Amino acid sequence: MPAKSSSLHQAAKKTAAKKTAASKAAAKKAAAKKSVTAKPATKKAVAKKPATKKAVAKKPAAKKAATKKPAAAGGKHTPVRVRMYRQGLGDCFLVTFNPESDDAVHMLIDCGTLGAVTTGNEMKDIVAHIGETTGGRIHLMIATHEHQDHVSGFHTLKEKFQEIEVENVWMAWTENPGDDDAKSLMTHIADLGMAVAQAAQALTQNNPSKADTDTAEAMTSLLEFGNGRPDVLQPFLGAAKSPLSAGPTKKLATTVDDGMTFVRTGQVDSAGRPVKARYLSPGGPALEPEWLPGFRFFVLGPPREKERLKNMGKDGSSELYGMAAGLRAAASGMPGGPGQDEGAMPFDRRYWCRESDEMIRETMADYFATENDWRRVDKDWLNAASDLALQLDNMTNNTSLALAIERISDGRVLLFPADAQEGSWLSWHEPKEPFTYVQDGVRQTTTAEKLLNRTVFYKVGHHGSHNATAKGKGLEMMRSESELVAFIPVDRKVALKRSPAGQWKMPAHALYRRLLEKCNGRVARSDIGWADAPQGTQKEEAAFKNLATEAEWEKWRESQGAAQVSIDKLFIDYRLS
Amino acid sequence: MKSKPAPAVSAQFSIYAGSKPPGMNHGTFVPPTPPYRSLQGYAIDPSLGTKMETEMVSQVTFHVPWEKLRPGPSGEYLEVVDADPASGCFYEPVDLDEPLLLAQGGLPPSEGTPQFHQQMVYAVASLTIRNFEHALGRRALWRHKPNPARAADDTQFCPRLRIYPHALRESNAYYTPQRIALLFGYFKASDDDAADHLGGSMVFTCLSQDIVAHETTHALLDGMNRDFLNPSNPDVLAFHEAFADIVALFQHFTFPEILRHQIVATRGEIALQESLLSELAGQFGRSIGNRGALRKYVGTPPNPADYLDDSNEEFQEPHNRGGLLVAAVFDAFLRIYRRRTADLLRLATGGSGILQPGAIHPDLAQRLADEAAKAAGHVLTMCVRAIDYCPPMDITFGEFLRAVITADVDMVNDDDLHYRVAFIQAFRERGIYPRDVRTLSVESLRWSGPHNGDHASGALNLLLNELREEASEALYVECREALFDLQVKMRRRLHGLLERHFKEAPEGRGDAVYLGLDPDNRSFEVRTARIAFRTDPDGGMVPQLILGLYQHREELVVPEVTPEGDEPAESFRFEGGSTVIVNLRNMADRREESRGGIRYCVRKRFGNTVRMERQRRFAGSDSPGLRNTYFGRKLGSDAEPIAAMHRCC
Repeated sequence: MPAKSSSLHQAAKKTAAKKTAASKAAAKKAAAKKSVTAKPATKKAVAKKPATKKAVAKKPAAKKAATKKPAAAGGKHTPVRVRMYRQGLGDCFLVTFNPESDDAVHMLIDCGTLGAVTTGNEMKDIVAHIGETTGGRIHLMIATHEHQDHVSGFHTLKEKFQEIEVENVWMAWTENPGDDDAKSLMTHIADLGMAVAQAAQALTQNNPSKADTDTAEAMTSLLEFGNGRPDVLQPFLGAAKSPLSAGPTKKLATTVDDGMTFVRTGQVDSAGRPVKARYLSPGGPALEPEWLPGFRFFVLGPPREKERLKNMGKDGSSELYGMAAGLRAAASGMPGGPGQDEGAMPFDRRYWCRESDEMIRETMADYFATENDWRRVDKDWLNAASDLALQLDNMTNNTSLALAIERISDGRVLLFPADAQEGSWLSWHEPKEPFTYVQDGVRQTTTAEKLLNRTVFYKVGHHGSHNATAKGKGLEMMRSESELVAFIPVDRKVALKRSPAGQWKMPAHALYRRLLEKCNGRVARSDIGWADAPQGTQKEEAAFKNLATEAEWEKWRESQGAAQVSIDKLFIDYRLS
Repeated sequence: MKSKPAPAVSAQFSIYAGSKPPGMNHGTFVPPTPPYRSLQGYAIDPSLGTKMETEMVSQVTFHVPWEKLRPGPSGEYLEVVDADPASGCFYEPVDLDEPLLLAQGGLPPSEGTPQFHQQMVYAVASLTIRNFEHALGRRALWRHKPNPARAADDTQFCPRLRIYPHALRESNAYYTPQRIALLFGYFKASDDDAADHLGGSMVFTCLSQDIVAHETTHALLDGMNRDFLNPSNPDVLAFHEAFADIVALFQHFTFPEILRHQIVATRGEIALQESLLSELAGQFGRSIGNRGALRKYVGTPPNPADYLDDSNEEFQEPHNRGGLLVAAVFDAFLRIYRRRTADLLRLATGGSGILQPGAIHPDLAQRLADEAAKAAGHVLTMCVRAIDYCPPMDITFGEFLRAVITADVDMVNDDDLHYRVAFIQAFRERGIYPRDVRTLSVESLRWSGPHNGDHASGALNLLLNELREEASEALYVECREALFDLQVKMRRRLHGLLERHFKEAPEGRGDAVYLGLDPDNRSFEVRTARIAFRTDPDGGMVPQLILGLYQHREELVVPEVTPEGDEPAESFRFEGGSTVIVNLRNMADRREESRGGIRYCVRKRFGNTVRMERQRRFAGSDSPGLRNTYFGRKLGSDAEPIAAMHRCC
């Protein structure tokens, strides 16, 4: 079998081997040299477009195999444009296949924001621009997961989106209302949200300390991801008097939920028919939609294993249970009060005493003395809810639909992991069903590692936070360093303004640096454009002061200048020719 | 026949209450104070009792120091308060001085009785304090009581550590320095629980001996040096964790029953992973990831890169990093244990040293257990004594090794069983050693002082002799509060003396630099001042003054950028100073150990810009973890450092 892919793999392996063989320092030097020497070539590539020259020369066999495929018109590779909109802290990507042709295919991944301070762009302009670019017709719409920063636009600008025809809708299996696992997961997520909201509220009652209110605010801030402003706590607190009362928690009507529902059920195709969402599970055969010849979609996540979704403290559920029981006790105002589950109490009823019991007042007089108030622990247990808030965020992020899009003609991969956290990344390498595709009528198997090896464009997960890009089993496997480009959808100013102020690590220092190294500087951020050394006036960037030396930045700037990336006020484009 | 009325006060002690026989007019009979109080409890945690192999060692009797107790129990060091705000409950405090309880060694172990929980935390915490004091050679004090009116005031005495056995509803327990209290959680085991307990059953962290000992040690260490909670480098919090765990770990070796049982079960190889002794709280450790981490590395082959490679995030996390130190200390212990038992094994095996298959002889098991207990006691003492010799802040594992070696050199003249070498070797194999020593020998690891030409001016040494008066006072203090007050008094006095010396004496400036201080920065603190009595190699007693000198300033994490608007720029606290050990008794004709004056000066120079930049980089780096992504250091770790560290994400 003269499989093109195998020869490609060999090439990839060769370069990989070269790199590992050399010492670290030597490799770095080599990479630096390479980038300098390679620069004019790539520049030419931008201008004249025989970018494939080098590749073609190296593997003619591969090219022949590829041209057999009908996809690439005229024997060339089908170009792809990835457009990252600059709508603030949130994701909105328009991927257009064959953009210059009349039969361009448009794919929209997410449309949400938590606010845009740096660019000041407004969502309505973004959506209008999407409408213009696509001519009112999107072939594939994807909402990756249920977070405000990914779907807010589908709610706030629903009317605008209703003017756009959508042929296909894809979502993660976790959004499938008919899936039992998804249902129990969503119930759990709703339970977590409710416990966090109620704990946040309880923390701010009865003479809260500064630490209490800070914690409550930070937890609330996280909840906003799932619910959107301004009614963060309201849906939870209004919903039920006693938290986690028996029976499944109802799905809460929030802006985010509304946005998701709109994507799921509100789309109409060009023939006027409502679109039925397709729910995707990881692994198995790659998707090769007939309306997009020449490309394959590998579904990497969300994992179906519950543990992978959580990938947090193993006691997640027992903590939630404890918190809920405690909140019930607190709400009922007395031990064993109405609505309380006696089984959730640590001891039998005969041991329960109340604060008002004379024996307690007497024997524990020290505890109640006002001069000892500083040692009381009335609210400490509520702080555990901060764990729950993190679990909630992590779990929802792990329900992200993570996709690898492969261009069949040359095996290059575009990686869109949405906000998948480490647990999801790790699961890609152990799919229940292996990743397969059909090449020349023969079923082939591939792995996440191979896809990562050939990744040339990486949509950085979760706005560049630390946990959303796996290291050894993620970024380090992206070996196409000579052409790798990373886009980070982030608004650092917005991130730093969240509560607690100045703490949100987006992008995370170490990851940011490693991305710059791996991409040789070709890292673009939706807020500031090309990653660059902080300038004197950029207070938000100051933390990156020691990220790299001036020489490194200089080298990176050169490499950026040669990349196929263009920056506009509303968006940043990447082009794969 | 004449009868003399017995004095009212002693009536309760008289065995002849009321009717006194004639002729006993030399005073009433006073029974001796009991040497200890016996209290029943779980040997490790309740789960042992549910397995056949361990059932017989699941319970032990704790022998805790005798003291009069109020309901709580509340005594000299501890007050247990059983408020359960997460369930809206209080539980009646147990009165351990109740005759019915005194007569049966306290309540029998029971998971379902809150009063037993109170007894268990009291017993384990008391035992930990006793072991710690025993190793340290003086009485333990808690962190000072906070003064809401003046945050910097650290002169108020806090007599008791508070213990809340049921304060949280989560699988967590922590020490809170703000309230000088231990908070323990309980939780319902989930059905897919990894540990041995039944799904849906309540698990109480306060019933695990390991956890109680661990948290108590946090409090004890914090009482000795509160700057070990300022995370100025990745080792600091890891050290706190590791130290707490080392004390908890070696506490198990003080129970002969368990030790013997384990020796028999493992045929003397107590390092085995499956050994109860090298595992943290069994019931708890398995079900909560982070806790187990501290002993995860015990018995695994050492790899220096784990500690040295600072790009390896796994070991930047305090628990994993602390695990390396625990593993190193445990390894040192094993080397010592093997050395101590090599002859026994040879004797028992006819010279081959190779045990026959099958069970080992009970006598041999007993002797091995004795040796293990002895070695464990020595290792624990070495570690605890080292605290006095640690730098006052910004500690690294390598410096802890130097402190261990120096303290041991001071305490034991003849290291005939090569304990120090065992430590050095175990640490070196894990890449843990100070960067600034040329060779890894006892001599070069020992802190510098006059013995290698590093000395202060004669004037300063003379000046410090003025503290002799307080030293003799220290010999006679009658209670912990008086000891605390004496320390405050010494700190004030020393501050005055040193301030004048730095300013007026011709040698002042040089001495300030010698002490690691910045002479141009007028403000400094005498953070700690303690008197310790050590035995010198000739058997005489040497009163020592142990000083902690301290300076600090706030530094911006990103210095060049001036903050605009209302948001303050992120800053960190840079600290410097020294630990100074002074011999107050001068026997000039004797050997070096007995001479007066400063013996060691362990410096963390305030003017060290390299160290400052390193700390700045550390403060500016994001530690991994989702918690850090969103909450950062400001929330949680600044307020409750141990709680934040113990939480899972």
